[in-house]
Amino acid sequence: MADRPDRSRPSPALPCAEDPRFVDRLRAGDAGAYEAMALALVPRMLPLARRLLRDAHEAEDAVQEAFLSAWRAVARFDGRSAPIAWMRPIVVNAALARMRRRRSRPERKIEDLLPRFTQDGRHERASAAWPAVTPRVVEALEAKDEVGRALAELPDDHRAVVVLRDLEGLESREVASLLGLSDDVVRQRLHRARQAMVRILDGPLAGSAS
Amino acid sequence: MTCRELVDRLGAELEGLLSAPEREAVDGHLAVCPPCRVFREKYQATVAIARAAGARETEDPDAARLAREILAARERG
Repeated sequence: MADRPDRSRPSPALPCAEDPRFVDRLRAGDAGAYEAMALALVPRMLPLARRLLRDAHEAEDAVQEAFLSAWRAVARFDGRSAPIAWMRPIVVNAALARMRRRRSRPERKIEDLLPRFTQDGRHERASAAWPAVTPRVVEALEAKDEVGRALAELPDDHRAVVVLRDLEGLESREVASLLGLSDDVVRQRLHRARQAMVRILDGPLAGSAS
Repeated sequence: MTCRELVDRLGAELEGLLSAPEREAVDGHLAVCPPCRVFREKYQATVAIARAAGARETEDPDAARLAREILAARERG
């Protein structure tokens, strides 16, 4: 952990952008094309699986399972979407299957993390402002893995929505489709998850405003 | 509009889904409610922080190792 480089570096670019035959090679079971896809996409998919599962070993197992099952089904990749759009649902489904299997794990109720209001609908207490969200503030939060910790405090069903919508940047309807939920449920869970994250991030951020 | 009602609309506001009367009610409440102004700023900051964290790509030796393990497992069949 201590010797992990902290500089940002993009994953290897997918060769398909420059190689129009990449999809054909992949579909034909070309090991080189699959290797290029794995080297480019595992670094993108592992953080997603970690955020969904909150467990490094389970995340690696889910990503491995997803890539091996993608290889077995590679002939069905139609090439109309980018390989990352093809792989993401496979990884998400592998992670969700693991999440469901461990349902008995204790987790906080989302209601306990929401802001509280008086009976007449006012804030129960005003909280301190945060500093402006500059790249430096984000970097400081990331260096201490505060975003990861905040996500880890959310219940699985709410964390999945905020990870896919806010961190992965998927559209609400894509999140709904991936998770098998209605748009309304996605919006409601997203809104609650964000409010809970406000409360959790108050720890590292409130009081540091200048 | 109460503080609770304002907070309930922050997600829709961010998505640009507020109707004109809702927009007016939200702005009217924010003009007179400092706690809601602070909470709204934090809500929007939280989304910005999450997006920035999601967009950040960091070199990860575990990912490179895992990719090699996946390729080896594929070769083994």
